[in-house]
Amino acid sequence: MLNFQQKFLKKYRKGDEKMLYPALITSLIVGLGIIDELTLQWQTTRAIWTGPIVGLLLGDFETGLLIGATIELMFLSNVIVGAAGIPDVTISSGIAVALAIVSDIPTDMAIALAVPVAIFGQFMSTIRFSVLGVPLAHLADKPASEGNIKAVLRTPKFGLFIISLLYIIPTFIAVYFGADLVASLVDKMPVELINAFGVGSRLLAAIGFAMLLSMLKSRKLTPFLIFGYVLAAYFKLNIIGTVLIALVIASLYIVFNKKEVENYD
Amino acid sequence: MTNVKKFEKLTKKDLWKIYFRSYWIRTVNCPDRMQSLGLTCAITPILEKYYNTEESAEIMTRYLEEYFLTNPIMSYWIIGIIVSIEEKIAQAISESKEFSRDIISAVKTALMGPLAAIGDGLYNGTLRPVVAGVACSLALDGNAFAPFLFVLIMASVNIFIRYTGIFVGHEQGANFFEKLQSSGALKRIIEAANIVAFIVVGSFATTNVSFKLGIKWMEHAAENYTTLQSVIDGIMPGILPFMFTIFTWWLIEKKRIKPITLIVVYLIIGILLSYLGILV
Repeated sequence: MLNFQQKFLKKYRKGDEKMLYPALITSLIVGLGIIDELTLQWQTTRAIWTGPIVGLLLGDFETGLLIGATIELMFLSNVIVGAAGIPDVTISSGIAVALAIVSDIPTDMAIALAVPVAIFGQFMSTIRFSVLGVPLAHLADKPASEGNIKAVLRTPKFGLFIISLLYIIPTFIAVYFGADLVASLVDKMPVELINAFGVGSRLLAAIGFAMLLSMLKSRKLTPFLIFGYVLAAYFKLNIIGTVLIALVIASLYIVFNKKEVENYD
Repeated sequence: MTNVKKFEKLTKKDLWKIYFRSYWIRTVNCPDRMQSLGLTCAITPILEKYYNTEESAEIMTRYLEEYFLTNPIMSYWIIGIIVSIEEKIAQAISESKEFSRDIISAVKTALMGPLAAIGDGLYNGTLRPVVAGVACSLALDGNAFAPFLFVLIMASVNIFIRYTGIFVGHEQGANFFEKLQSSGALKRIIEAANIVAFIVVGSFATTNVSFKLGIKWMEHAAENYTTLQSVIDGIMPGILPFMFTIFTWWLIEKKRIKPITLIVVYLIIGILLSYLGILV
């Protein structure tokens, strides 16, 4: 499979083919992601999926994995609550990986590039909700008042089609026309600045964790945070071990609390 | 006035139909009604089974016009419960008993808030970040299966909640969540999930927020540089990223600074400090 990819990659890097294939692949994966988000919600919108898959299809799975995981950590606890727009992880990770591979820019640069794209993507969800949402949702009014069930069921399908275009088209344009532009910009940049971008983007993971913390409502349990720190810093426990210990403590908590309630009765 | 074609209990096949049509729950949202179109689609199998065109029009319009908003995955529990009530209403009509559809609006309004809190808190707020965090750590170590593991776990839990929502929700009816809530079980489960989240975030923040101080000086006798970072690591390893995360938490929570603002500010500060050699 990798062999096939390398052959293919060589072919399109000769320059005559332009950016059609990467642009198509990236917008396809982003489009599938948004369709999933609006129906199945298997979380294929997340950067940890979009990044590696775009990478795989463009011939550099490892770069996709690295960029996808880093962006995922940055936006770890994005939660869609009602109408609030959130930084978009799908478009940003897809474009970042595509540009890193096609324009051959350093991964740190690509990650830093993902930030403005994510903010732009937040704008997309506002358009989807406030501008497109109203006419699309009200398409069902007339068939509903006529009792036409089939026509009512057609409206979300049509809406899904229109909304997915809203994400697919900008992604395609960004990769198709942006690749050369970004490559030439990065070529002129001093190495120190590129490294600096890397350091800057690595600070961003703190924001994802902080957002997650602000979602946890049982504040009397905050000391467990320090417990997690001790496990990582002093015991050098890897993440799977940490999750297992956390699960044990959580189940002990449930068991002991239950007894307390029973005694109370 | 209203008529039922012919009453018979909902079959497994009907429930599966409801399950699949419920996937439209949040496809087309709009500010004035949110997920009401999705909910209308979800209950169409009931209309097809019990009612004629006229009654269907009346019921669909009512569902469409009523605001509905909850966590999309947990909405399956509400749909399951609504379906069980709709079934009872159809039975009541067929036996020419009195009925009122107002109970459905009441159940919807009563459940959508708490279920949104559970779904957003446990699934989106705890499970997804914890599993994603684990997958990211694996991915950064070069494990190629990490993304597939992430989607596999999320999809299985997702399908499990949706399936039990329709089938158990339909069987148990509206009392289920009341029982769960009054026994205190729900509160304990949420607290236990918070424990997992706190421990995992404590560990993640220490290992994944990676920056080091670049400040260094020459010890008078030694030939090597001593870095401030190594001094700090000797006292409390990994404390800087951990404290930095707590500081960010404080900014978001107490100072109400928007995460998106922080992202831009941190990126700029990081680039500046790195350029000056303070961070490496």
